[in-house]
Amino acid sequence: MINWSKITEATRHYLKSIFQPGDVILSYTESNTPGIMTPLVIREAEAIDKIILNPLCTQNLSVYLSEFFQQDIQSGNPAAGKWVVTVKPCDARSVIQMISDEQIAKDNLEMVVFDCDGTVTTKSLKNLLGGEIRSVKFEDHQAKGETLANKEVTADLVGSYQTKCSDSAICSLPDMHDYSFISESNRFVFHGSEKENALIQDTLSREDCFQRVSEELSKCIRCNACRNVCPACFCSDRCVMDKPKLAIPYITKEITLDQIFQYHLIRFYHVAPNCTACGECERACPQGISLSIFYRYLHRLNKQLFGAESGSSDSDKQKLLSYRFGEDLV
Amino acid sequence: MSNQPNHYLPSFGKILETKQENSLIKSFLVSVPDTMQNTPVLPGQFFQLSLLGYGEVPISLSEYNPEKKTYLFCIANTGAITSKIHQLSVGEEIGIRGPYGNGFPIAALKGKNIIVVAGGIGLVPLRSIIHYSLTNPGYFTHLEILFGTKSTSDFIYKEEIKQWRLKPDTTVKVTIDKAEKAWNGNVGFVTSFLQENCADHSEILFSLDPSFENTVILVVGPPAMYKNVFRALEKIEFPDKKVYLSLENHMKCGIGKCGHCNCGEKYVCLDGPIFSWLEMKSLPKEY
Amino acid sequence: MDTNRIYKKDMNQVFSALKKLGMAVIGQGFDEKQRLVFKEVNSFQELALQEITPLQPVKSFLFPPTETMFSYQKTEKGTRLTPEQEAGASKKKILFGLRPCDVHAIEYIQKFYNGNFPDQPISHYIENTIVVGIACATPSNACFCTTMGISPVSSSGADIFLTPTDDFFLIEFLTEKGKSIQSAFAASLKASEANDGNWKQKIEQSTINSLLEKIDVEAIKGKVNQAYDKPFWKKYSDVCIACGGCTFDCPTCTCFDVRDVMESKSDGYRYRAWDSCSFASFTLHASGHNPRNSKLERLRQRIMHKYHYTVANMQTWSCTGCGRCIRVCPVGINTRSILKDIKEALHE
Repeated sequence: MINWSKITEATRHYLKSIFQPGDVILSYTESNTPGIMTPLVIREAEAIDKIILNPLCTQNLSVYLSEFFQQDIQSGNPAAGKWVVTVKPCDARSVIQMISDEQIAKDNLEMVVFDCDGTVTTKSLKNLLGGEIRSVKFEDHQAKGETLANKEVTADLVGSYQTKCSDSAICSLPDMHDYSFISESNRFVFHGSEKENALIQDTLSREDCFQRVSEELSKCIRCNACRNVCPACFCSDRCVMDKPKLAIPYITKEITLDQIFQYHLIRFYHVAPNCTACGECERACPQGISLSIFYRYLHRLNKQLFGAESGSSDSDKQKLLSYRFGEDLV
Repeated sequence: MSNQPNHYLPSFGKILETKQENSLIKSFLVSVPDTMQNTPVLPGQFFQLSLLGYGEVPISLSEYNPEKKTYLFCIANTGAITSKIHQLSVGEEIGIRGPYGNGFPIAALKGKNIIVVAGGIGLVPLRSIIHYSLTNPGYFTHLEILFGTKSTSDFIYKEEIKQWRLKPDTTVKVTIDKAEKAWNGNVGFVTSFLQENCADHSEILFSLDPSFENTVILVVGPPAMYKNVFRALEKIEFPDKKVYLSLENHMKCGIGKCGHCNCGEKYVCLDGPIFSWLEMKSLPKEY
Repeated sequence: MDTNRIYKKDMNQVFSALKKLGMAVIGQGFDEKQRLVFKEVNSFQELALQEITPLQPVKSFLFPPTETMFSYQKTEKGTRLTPEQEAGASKKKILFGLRPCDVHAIEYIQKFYNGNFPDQPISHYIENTIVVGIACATPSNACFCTTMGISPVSSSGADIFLTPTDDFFLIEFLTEKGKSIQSAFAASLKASEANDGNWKQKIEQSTINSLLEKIDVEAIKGKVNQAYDKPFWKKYSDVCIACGGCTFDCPTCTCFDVRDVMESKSDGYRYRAWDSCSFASFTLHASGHNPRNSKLERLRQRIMHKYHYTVANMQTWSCTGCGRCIRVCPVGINTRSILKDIKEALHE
């Protein structure tokens, strides 16, 4: 069981000990909205005490790294020091994957992984606590909140964590020898239940599965939140879906089912080699589409077909992006 | 309410003539659609031209001839849609919506000494006000046209410029950026006209009106040119509300709804494209 | 003003009568996956009016995310245009149970699209829509309507207005449009009672007490652009991922993109789709020049537009404090924080 105050304190302590002027730290703090944490960019040592870590730290901070590194390269004015990022074990895999994809440079990066036994979305938390909250605290496995009507409510978080938290393929430390791991026991232990949740691809026939997928995707409004929050989508401003001049007549901005499928299928195939199933796409979707239907399946397919696990090692070139002469066709 | 006109539907005009002005710019003489026969047009306004299947582009009007019922559009080949428009031939149709925008402030220019400063393609929208001035006798006191291009192969409106030189109370000065073998005329940026004597030894307009009371300047050109012109005008302390320019911007609907041309409190398609230098200064720095 | 009671147990009768009048009723309810959405309902029980307002904005019923503007055929005789619109445009509908924040948003959208060159397709949607407002008794912790000068029990802009109690609604028919469907309610209307006038005030007080804060923005009205160059913007643009969620879910965001599609050498159509000033391509010129090249400039543009430019042009904030931008932001950017930062920067 994680003691979040202790983890926060230990992380702050460690960061203070390594911080050099010129470094930039990416971590979390409370936003002005109860129940929502926000990423924090720290450029001065004094601000380190603003860091707060708790089960609401759902954002995958690795998404900022490729942008910041690209900015450094484009501006010709590289950051004076290191990029220091505090991440959960699942998100550490995204960072490792980015190094493997050569989107960020290992030499300029310091990754600090903090122990975590589960995160909850703001939506789940509100459901647990019975509605809108004025404030929330975390102690042991409990969330203690105050409702808008000034009533105190307490709820147990166990059972309400994000689905990925019980998936030991996603909640597992990557293989990188140079990171720091902040934990009371100093070793990583998988806290979720080992039971693997069945995916719809297991339980439904092909036709029913397609039907279900169509229903889910029909709610899409092409806002691009899933793409923008995804660390695997690092084309950023150069994304093919945004190119007005590119004469690709079959891609339009229309919000019709065929165009929606286009968008999502293109994204699916583009991130296939490097998606770590962090689930941010689903969390960020304003329409609440269960995008993890696709990406957890993708994750499993990668393992079954290619023996590939995104985010495990920074030196493994993706099996999907490499070819050996004479290798068996899949 | 449903019998409101739908401003998004283009009308269609036929291309009557085309002329290649220079390597980049092609002129299209287009018939005015029936539905637009009685629509008044101000110089400086623009139309949204559609090449159906490709898209729509905002194009300034160069000349409107109400007797012959023609619009003249001079279009630069700068993008996907304009390059396809360039491939159109006489007899083909083109979609037209408009006119939109505010146009030049006709009342404010009346009776004044007008200095038109055009950089390259900037002469295209300025042609509309030149044409208006020259076809309304007594509209201006004196008209001076200063036109600069990169080189002689970038010249446009060569025939029209010859005609303009012959008009009363009108002078035309042309310059190119760098000297060329067969060119005996002015060399240098068009801003140099605003300050010094020129190769043809005539004095600039300012000598006629040293207090600037009765003088108005219209400027259209590439962004770098605006910077130089403003610097030159600041040096001589020319009042910023008497300088007008045309702002180019990314547009989609042309009628102030889609938000693409919004800059600061202004919409280029509604409050512009003609702005005074004073107004320009109040726009956010991104423009 | 005539105020009547209408009991919740009688509402299904009303819904049947509305159906007979050929009207579709749209209100907030849960979809098959327990997500709170605006949807067409057939019975009163399908509504979930006691919940907070859905994340999805109601503007999609007046201005769909994608709309074909016209189709064209190039023939020998010339080009033929056929204006098109979704079937939904002509459908008579009632938006049932919109909070004052959302009703104000519709008022704003109407004013915006009707200005200068009126947007005829959207006018068509609006004229076929009747707005039934409801006093808001359940705000979210992101709400800030009172900051934007809107009372949670304001009936301004509604055709019919409901004040909810446990068993019944108080109902007022406010406009000609609202009165035009009074017949559907007539059989169920009951006389109001002596203290019924107090309900609205009770709800207003309770809701105001639930709101986390009220920021005095009158102090910065007309001056917000003075914060243009202040350093606090970087705090937000550093973490913003430009996903467009805030603009797509905002009930007063009105921008769209226009594109053509060629289906064959002679046929095709033109459509428009929701667009966002958060996207890099929004101001991208054909030449490759982009006036708002950085996330900071785009985020600032959004705030300036909502809190300053529309004030200058239309004398109104184009924000109703509904809080959707705060609720949807995946990285926790809070518009109220930005307003407070502007105030601090301007020493107000």
